[in-house]
Amino acid sequence: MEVDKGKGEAEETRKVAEADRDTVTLKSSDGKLFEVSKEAAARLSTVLAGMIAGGSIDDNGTDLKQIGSEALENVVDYCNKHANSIPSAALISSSISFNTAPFKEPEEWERKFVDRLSHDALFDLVEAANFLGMERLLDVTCHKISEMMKGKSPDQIREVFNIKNDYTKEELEEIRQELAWAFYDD
Amino acid sequence: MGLSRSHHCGPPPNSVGSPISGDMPCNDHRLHAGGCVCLCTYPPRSPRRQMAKPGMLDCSVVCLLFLRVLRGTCAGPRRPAEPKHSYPARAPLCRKQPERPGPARPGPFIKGNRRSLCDSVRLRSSPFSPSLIAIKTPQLPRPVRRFLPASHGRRGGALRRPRGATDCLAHVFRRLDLEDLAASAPLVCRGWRRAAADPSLWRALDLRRDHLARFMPWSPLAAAFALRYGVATRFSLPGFLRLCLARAQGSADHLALPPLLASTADELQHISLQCPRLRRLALPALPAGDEARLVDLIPRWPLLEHLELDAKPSATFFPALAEQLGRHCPKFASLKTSGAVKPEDAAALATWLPGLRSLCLDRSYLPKQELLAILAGCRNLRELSARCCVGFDEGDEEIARRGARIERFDVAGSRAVDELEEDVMAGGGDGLCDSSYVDWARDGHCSQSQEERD
Repeated sequence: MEVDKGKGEAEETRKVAEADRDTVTLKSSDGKLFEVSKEAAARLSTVLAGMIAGGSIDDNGTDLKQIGSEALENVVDYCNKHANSIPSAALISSSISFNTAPFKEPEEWERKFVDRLSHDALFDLVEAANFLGMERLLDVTCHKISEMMKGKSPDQIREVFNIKNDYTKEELEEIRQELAWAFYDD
Repeated sequence: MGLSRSHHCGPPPNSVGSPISGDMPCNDHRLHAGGCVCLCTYPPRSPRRQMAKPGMLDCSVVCLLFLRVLRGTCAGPRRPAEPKHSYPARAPLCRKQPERPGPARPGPFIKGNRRSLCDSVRLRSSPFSPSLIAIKTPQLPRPVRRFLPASHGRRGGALRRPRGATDCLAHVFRRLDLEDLAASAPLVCRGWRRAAADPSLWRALDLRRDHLARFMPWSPLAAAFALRYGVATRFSLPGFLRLCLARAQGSADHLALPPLLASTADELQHISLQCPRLRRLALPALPAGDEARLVDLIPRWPLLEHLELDAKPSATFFPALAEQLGRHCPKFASLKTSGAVKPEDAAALATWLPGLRSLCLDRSYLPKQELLAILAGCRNLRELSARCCVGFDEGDEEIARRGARIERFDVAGSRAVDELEEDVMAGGGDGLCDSSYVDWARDGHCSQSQEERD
């Protein structure tokens, strides 16, 4: 009898705890678990927001098969940091305006956050952000990558991103000729 | 049951021991051996095409009646089909088999028809269709099933192109400047070239920001083009614009031109042809002839929402411009310009663009009466900026009262014309105002707020 009672109590407390839980557990492709606050996840990721709203969050870890543990760790890290930072008023106010600048420059902590990542981690993070529908994280990471390309020659870009040049000479010549029309027809 | 159930040749799926055996066509075919087209046709065609041959209708009616009498279960055709794809005993039609059989064809149907009627004909006529060749093998439905996943796989394969990587690359490219997108990215490797050719990357063409540093002949972009594309010293902003518009393939929706174009008429014409989906357009000051041209071109941008004209068209053309915008651009909501606002301009705004939500007339000659007329006419304004204007006082109570309902109402730095200037105005008119007053306001008195804005 007493055992039963204890069990019932335990059950109850578990239920209460579940109802109160303000974190979601995410599971990476290699089975590692990460916890992130429900509020931050819902605010930053449209996909997770949809899952939370739709009740398809698994308490034992929502499977995210497309995301490796390292990338997911970065995602969670970003969510936690974002929760601590207070968005500036300029970010919140939305109005019709004459200049169209949808992209807001990364804030200081966001810059630091992406600066410490290796190239591979950064690309994985782009894919993870894309998969989870995290617009701001996608902005920040892609901005970082585009900054790495800015003003560089094709050779330099290949070097930075370790890309193999798969063009033949003929193709390069074709590309070279391709744009002449725009500048020579007058 | 009624007409709700479609009819198939051969035994109906649920009828065990049906009088119709699998080896025969349906009863109707025995009746209409010469060419029943209505009941055992598959796949059903659209009624429109069927109606092209009115003779078929009679046949279908006969068959329908026959079926109703004969069987209670199978009540007739839902949609009679055109004879082209029918499987009955019409030899000439059977010969024209579709090369790819419809994937959803039900098994019994194939079994019943093919063997008995058109086997040999079909095999001769379409030797490339695997499912049809396979008819000769003993188990009939199986080759069809094998064919299905294969075809699906091929289709799925087309969708599963290296999409993940290209997607992410597109996200990065979307944040890249046009220069890098044009001069570097396509030359890195084949994959990048493909990704950079995506028209959606070329939708927003802001050639105005930093244009002096970016597009002049001595800019890094010109050097890169000379080096990599062999255009030597020919690099020019109009050429680059043409290039961008070609890449956008008609999807450009945001275009801002700097005041460097030698001949705006050509460019305007080009833009009007290449950008049917334009939503936001910013143009430099236009010569009078091009102002008239612009008025004519407005109907080509039916999606236009925002127009920015560095110099307000003269009172000759502005009312016509407003009229065109009001008539042809239902979504038009935002206008930014600067110049001398005459009574007819204000009246045109009130008449043709009453739905305007945002209006910017900074650094204009804007008399109080005209501003009040605009405020009275454009009741939907949510944003009105008339900073550093000449013609009314920024502290004017009446204007403040009328403007109170507007969310963002900014008239800072504006002031009424003083005595001396009024004299000049009386003798000057349009041209004088444009050159002296507005420039004076633009250069001298508004530099501070200009910086704020930028």
